[in-house]
Amino acid sequence: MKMRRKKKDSENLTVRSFEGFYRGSWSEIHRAVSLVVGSADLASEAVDEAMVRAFEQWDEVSRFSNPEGWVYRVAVNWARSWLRRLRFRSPSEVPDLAVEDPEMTDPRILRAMQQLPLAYREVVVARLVLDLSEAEVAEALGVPKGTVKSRLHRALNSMKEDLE
Amino acid sequence: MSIEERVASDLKSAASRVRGRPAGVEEIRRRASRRRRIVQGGWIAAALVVLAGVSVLATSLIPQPVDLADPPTPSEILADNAVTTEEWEAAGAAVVECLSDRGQDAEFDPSEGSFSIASTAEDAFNECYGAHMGDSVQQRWSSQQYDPVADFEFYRDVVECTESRTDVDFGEMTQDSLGFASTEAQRTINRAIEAAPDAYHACLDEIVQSRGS
Repeated sequence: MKMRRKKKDSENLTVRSFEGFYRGSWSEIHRAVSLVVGSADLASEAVDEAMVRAFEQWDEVSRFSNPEGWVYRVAVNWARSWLRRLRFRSPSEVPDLAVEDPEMTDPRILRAMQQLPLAYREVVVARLVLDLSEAEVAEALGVPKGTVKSRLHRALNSMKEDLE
Repeated sequence: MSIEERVASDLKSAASRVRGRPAGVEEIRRRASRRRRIVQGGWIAAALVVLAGVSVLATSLIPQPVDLADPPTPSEILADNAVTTEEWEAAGAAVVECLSDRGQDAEFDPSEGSFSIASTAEDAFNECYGAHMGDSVQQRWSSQQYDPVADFEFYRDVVECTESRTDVDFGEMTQDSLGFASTEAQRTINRAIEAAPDAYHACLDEIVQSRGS
């Protein structure tokens, strides 16, 4: 009886922590994923799908040094597979990746971003929008730190060329 | 300003204007619960497939007839404005069967609504997908998985419970035209969480348990 009570309390604690995490981090992760995939709607689906998986494994995910980075990665991966699936559909159904924001200082930057391979975009956004360190990006995306450095370097060079 | 600073500044500016609609924690729980059922169902299905395979091998080498009953068209599926689990799975199976008739291997994952096909099967896929599922069925199925009104009602109850325990009015809980919690309601929920986290979470836990979710 006592054991059961203890387990129940532990479950409640887990639910509580996830609730706070969900409410506190959803928007920021969603914005980042939107920039990577070029669609706010697709990003909403992707982040919530990733949150389902985070919820299922919350005991473990909550102990990560950067659970937001984990959800970001899972969401981008989910969106990537969705986009891959859309490749087999008519082109008009593929989200418009060249989202323009008239209030941006230079809208060419977003267009240049969307010309990059998705693997580069996810590094650029994690590093420059989520402000994760190179080590944190590496951990979140599951790639070596050197790969983060080189992808960021190549992405910025490519964008620089597009802007010149 | 370096290219890095310029890109960071503009992307953050763009990101700040992105708006999205979170499904909500209650919906996340529901989806997790459904996924568990699907996974468990998947194991049972896999076991049945193995048993069936053993049975076929043991009893006969004669090929079993394939059920080629007319699968429903998208408009037939949507005749009652709803897609049942059976219709959803049958539509996916019909797309796979259609591709098979055209010499293409394909797999359908009903939980994800995804098809795995060879890149060379694009034209055949578009034809089969359009004939047996189509975006109309996909979209209806997706929207059926989420009940924004139930989600709103859940959070409205949590906020009301929190207000009654703290004697504080956190604001209005209103819905938008689609039945989702409005931006105002989201702010009200956030105010309740920030001002009275213990009461809010206690209410949330109680309502989750009372609804058996």
